[in-house]
Amino acid sequence: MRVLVVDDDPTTVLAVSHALTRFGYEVQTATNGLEAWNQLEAEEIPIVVTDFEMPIEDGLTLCKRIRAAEFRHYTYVVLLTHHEERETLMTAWSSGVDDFVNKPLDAAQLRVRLLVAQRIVTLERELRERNSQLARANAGLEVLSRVDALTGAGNRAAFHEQIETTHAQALRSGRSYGVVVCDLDHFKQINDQNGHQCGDRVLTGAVAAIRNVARRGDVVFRYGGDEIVLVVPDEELESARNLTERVCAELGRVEFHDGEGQPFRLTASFGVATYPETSGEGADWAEVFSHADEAMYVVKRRGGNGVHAAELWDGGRPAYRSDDMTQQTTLTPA
Amino acid sequence: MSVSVNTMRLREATLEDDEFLVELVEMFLADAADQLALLEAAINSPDQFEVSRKAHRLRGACSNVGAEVMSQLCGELEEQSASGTVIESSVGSRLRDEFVRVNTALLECVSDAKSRVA
Repeated sequence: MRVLVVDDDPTTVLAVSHALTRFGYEVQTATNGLEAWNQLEAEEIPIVVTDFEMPIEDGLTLCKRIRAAEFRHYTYVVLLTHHEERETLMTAWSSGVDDFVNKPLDAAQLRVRLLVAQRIVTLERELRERNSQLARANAGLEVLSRVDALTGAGNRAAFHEQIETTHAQALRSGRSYGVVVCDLDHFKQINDQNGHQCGDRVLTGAVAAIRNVARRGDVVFRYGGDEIVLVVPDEELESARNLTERVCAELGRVEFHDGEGQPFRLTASFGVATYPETSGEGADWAEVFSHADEAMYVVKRRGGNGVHAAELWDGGRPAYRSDDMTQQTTLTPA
Repeated sequence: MSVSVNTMRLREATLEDDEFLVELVEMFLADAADQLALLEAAINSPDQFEVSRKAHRLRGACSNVGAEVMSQLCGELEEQSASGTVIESSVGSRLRDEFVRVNTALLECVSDAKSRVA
């Protein structure tokens, strides 16, 4: 372990360094507080043994600097004293000194005091290491808490975060964005007839197909069950619709296999809505999302496999007027 | 008059390492000569506080090699100057006399140490 010995008296530096080297420490030296400070700033030195009175900068000033510094590590400070008076010692304690060793140097005492220092520094290092492990683990969990474990797409929580951000950005920049809601057709039937493993493959494949077509900046989420949502920033209704048509076609090209290895194709119903074209300027993201969801249901009711865009905002409420308004949405955005 | 150098103390401070003892003493003798000159200059100057600082510095060095009498003299000087007591002009010469004795005693220690190494 490294120790910095600071004293303006070369015999003290020599005697202390010699003893510490004997005890197995790696010793560096400085002749005043400022010189010591330069070394402490340049590299990680966990223990400082410093004289009290020194020219240029004394031991207490050095100690105060160390305590005010934002080092990643703790610096243990031992002050070399000449049996100072009580008041001086009190000042030293309040300046942040950890311990004292009296001059003339008593090597045995120095040795045990440094063992204490080593113990504290080691504990602090272990604590720091564990904290950073925890921080890394937390960062990992943070990511996992937003990812759908099966498909790798963002989950519902991630969707809410993303759409709030995207909506806020659109408000600030005056640009538009789109939301695509995708509901796989006959997914329950696929699951029931071919088993959940096949259902899982279908979900994973569907997300992959959507990703293939999505551009950079578009984000795919598994909202729940077999509902997949795509958020497309900076997109207007016409181009969002074209993109969705391509997604729909891409999905139709993917070959899946049932429980017996027989190939089958998958279809899905897509609804598209955009802010502000279909929602109106004053809408919040939940309205945009709900319009996309309603548009998706139009396709569903026609038998699935297709894309429907929400109607343009006409100034009234709601923007979307379905031919069947009795159909209620099952999605409840938080 | 007690002995100028507590040899037990010196051997303790050097952890019974004779080669190191030689090194430490040589370092001390060179440094103490300089420090003593600085202290004498301070005594002859009006800056009392400087006397205190220099005496403090020399006291620390002396204590490292077991030069207890000289260390004690420095301590007295340090206290006097810090408390504003008028410093007796004889203190300087007493220190210098003591340094001569310390020098002799330490050189003996060095020669003993060298013979132990050999």
